[in-house]
Amino acid sequence: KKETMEAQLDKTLDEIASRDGVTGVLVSDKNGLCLGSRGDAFEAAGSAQAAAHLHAVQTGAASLSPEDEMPIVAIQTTQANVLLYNNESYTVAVSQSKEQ
Amino acid sequence: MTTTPTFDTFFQEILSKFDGTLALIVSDLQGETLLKVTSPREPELGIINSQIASTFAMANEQGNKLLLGQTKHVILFYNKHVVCQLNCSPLAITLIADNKHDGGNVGILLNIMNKLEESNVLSCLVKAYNLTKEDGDF
Repeated sequence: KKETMEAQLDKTLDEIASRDGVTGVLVSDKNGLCLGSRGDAFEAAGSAQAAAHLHAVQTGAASLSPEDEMPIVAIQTTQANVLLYNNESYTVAVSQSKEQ
Repeated sequence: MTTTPTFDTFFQEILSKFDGTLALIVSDLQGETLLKVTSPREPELGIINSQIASTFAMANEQGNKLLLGQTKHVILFYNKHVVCQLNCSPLAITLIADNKHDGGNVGILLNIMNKLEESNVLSCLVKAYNLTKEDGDF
């Protein structure tokens, strides 16, 4: 059976989303376009919108210190904690519930 | 003293709100530019010329010949800029943003386009355009 090109990505997203306390995970490419998402953490905004804005946050954070490596960004809201990780090709956002 | 809100000020606010956006152009599908707003960061943006509107008009027309339905968006990646063009017949909206390090935020441009479509602004623009066409003043 042929594996689709996003099979590895799907598997990784499923694995992250299944962990305790994780309410959502989203991956966007370097142009702020959503490559995949799981969970309902980002559904209120919509995955496409969330991807664009999270990418903008990551880019903004990186511009504070351009000579440094890509920063890991932590966003705390009243409902969740969101961690952003970025490399040159993509941004990963993981949302955890506040109870964790 | 309050200033009357205009399309210019409205679009200027959009450009100032979203980091990386450089210009917004409203044109018709015949290639005529109706409105042009640039970010104060780059008021003389070199990529903007009269061909932007007419090129999209042509691309839109050719895209329709693929018989895959009406063209909705066209996204263009250049070395220094990324251009997103929205078909809202009889008008076209062009948004231009930075594409530094090949990382221009196209997602934000598409979000802006979707918000514009959902808002009354585009329908007001289209109404105004249709009225001027009927009057023959345009």
